Amino acid sequence: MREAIYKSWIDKLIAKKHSANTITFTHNNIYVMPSFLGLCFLGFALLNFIIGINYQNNLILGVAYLMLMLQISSLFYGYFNLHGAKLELLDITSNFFGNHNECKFKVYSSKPVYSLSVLSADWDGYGFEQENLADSSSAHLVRLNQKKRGKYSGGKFKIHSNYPFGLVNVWSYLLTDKSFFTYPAPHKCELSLHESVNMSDNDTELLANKSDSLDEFSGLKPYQKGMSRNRISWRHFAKNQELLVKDYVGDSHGVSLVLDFNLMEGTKESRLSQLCFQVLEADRLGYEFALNLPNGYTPPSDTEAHVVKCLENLSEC
Amino acid sequence: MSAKANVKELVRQNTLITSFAYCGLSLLLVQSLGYVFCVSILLICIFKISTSVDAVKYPSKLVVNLLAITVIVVVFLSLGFNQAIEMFVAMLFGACSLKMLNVSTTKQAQAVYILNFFTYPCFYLFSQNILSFLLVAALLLLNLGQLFSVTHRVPLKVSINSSVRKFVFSLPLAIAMVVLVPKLPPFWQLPSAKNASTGLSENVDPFQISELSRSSELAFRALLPDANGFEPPFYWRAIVHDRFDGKKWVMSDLQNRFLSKTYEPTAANYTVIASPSNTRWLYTLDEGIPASKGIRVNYFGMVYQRHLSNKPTQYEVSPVKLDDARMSRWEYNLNTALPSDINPKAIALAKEWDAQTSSTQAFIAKMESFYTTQNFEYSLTPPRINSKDTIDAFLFGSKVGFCGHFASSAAFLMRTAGIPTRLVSGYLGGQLNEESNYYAVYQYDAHAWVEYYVPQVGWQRLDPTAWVSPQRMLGSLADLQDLEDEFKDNLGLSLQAFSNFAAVNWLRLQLEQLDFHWTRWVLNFDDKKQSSLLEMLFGNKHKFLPALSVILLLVIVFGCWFAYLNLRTRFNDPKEVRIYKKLMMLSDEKSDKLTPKQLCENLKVKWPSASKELDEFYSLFEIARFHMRPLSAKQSRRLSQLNKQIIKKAK
Repeated sequence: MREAIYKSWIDKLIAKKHSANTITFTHNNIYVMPSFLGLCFLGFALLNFIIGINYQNNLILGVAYLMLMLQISSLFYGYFNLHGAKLELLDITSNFFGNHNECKFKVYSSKPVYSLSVLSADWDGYGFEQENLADSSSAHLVRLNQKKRGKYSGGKFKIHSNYPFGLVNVWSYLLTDKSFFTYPAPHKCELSLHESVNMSDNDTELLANKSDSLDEFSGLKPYQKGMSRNRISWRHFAKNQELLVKDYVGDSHGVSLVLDFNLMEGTKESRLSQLCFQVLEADRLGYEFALNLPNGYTPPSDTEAHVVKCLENLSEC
Repeated sequence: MSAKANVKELVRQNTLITSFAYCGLSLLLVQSLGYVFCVSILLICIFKISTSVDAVKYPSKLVVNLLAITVIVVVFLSLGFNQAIEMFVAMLFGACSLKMLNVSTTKQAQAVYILNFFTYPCFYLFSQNILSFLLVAALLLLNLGQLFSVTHRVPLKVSINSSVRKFVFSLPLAIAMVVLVPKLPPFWQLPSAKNASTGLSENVDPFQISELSRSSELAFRALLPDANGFEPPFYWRAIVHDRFDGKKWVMSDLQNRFLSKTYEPTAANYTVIASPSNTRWLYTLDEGIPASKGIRVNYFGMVYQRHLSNKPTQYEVSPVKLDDARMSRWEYNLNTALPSDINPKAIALAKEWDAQTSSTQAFIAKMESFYTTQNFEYSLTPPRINSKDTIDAFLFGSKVGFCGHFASSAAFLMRTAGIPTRLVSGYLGGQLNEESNYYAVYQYDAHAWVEYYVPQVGWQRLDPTAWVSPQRMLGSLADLQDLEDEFKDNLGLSLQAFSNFAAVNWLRLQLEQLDFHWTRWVLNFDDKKQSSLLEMLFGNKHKFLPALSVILLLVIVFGCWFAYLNLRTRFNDPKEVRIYKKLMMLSDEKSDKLTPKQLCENLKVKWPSASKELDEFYSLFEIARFHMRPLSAKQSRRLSQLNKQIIKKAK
């Protein structure tokens, strides 16, 4: 009971102090303690002290005091190693189940930072560990290994260093508000696009236009971010180095092809996996499609954002 | 993968070096730890080398455990329980070097290097001279570097570089603590290491030795006050031998009996710093009682220590005159007893002199004329005497000997005549170091002489060697011209043997001096010296002040250091960044989420009056930070001005 209260208090404190995607390490967010190794070191210092006293041996006594001083100064060295450095969480990538979600960190520091490691405190995964880190342009990756598809919040990252000598633990936290998805693992299957069955008014109209939706090329439009890459006219790109998108008449009222959860077979997870594959496949082939899931309906589109949205919905289902 | 290989390589390299360190330390302690153990450590080290160069496979756990059992048995058999400290240190060294064989991970290596902070200083249990101090200090520094190297996976060279600074920072603080932290008395008595092999022997048997092995090791140093009563020759008494068994003079049973006579002081105290020796008997000029704690005085007015010490012992002696005018019956019997049926010629001679003389003095005069006229010769390499009648063979045969022969034969003659006589061994002379004003006495100054009893007067000293070789009394043996070659042959290779060369002699004296101060001020810095030092520093209120001053010192040093490092990181930022950070403090939003441009816009909204300055500031900031062009002096000055104006307007 008491432990629970203590833990929640600590969590609250950390949440209050460390909620940010960027943290600059200063005196109020660095924690320093002797490590287990440091405690052993102090234990041997005590042993040396006892021997020094009992043999009235000033040299051994001096070694004992030297060890004490080394331990104390290590606390300072450890603190100043991290002090002033800045850590930024750039992004957490979403990925398919079975692959890693990558958290990209960047470290800014005017002086080298030694023995820095960043690890997710909430999720399983591999942290990064860097022995000597100067101000670097490259991002450092923390890989998370989720056991289940779904939507996750980035959670707490622990930043840790045992510089110098491993005698101290110097650590801090970063509590991000970023979230990420672990999509279902795609499972290869036949692409089965169904025509919309459950028709709304809008859909009826779409169905009516279905006949002429079969690609009537109407011209080229400049490419804008988010448009399906499948419709880029690569011929033009090869010629003029400009990205143009083939525009089709009737696009706006395009076919309502639906990937429907209810029409799939198998367990829920296997259906989701198959749908995941189909979403990717449909995108690859350039279809405009909608996704019908128990937790919601995604209206048809063929943009990249749409694909991402579909995948996210699949994860959350 | 390469990082992992790198770690393995680092651990391998470092453990190899550490193996050498253990091996070296053990070999240096060969006298204490024994040959058998040192050979096994050497073998382990060779094993380690062969595994490192891939000549031999890495041993399995089982093999290492078997080796460990072997080492334990070896240590047990060669040292045993009566050398507890030696056994303990040998086991520690053995275990550590065996561990070196199968350390492969960073964690294991770290554990070993932490333990080494205990293992290496154990060397100080055996030897504490300057060289040992430097050796172990260097090893500790290396060890710290190795700990850094395996923990942070950097090459040893780099890690030693960064460890040296941390080590040097801590060293003066540690020294200050040794000086200032009040010394505690020992909690309990621990067995101490016996390492000194030199010193006086408790039985004097000159006839069995054909060559007196002399060493140039220091026996002790004495600081004599410039007062009356301290004039050469200095006879330093150590052991009294009062039983003669026909061959050797055996140490008296009263040697560790407490003093039971009355005494009166004669002169000022003097100080002696005795090197570790293989006996407990210390050195007293004539008679004296100890003025230091932990030192005892025996029946003969000579000081000794309770336990053998393996570090130099410093003590003060107050010279006294024992009241020994009367002698009890048993003492008389003890000091005239002789084995029967030996040395008939000597007995006849003594009886003849006894009949001719009426007093002890007259007897001694007869004896002196005998020694001086019969061509006796002083030599460090006398012939060996194997006869049963050793004294006859010496007095009427070889006539060549050193102090032991003369003292032994003279005592025999006097006892035959019924004069209570005993043999005393100790040291004669000493070399005066004029800079530091102390006498250094070496092992080769060891000497034996005779004390005889005169009723109503007491015990008197008599040195028969002086009749034969009068120069011997004037100084140290090293000063004796006649025996110079012989003496130097005996010493072998040491600096003393080259004292003819001025430079070598100068060097020897400097080292000698350094060692003196080291022994006096570092090794023997005890509670007494500490309290007098503290009294000098803090006056009479030195009860709480020293402890307080240590804490204060640490707080101040670490506080200043902390402040310095803090300032340094702050001033490491370029000027525009510092000012920008100040501006960030003005804005109450979470400004580290904003770009500098956004921040300036925010501030402009907040304080419209400062908008011009903010714009200018931003343009300068942009030049310096984003266009990477350093600001000119004028621009930099303008920046400071702007900063002031903005802050003023913001208020």
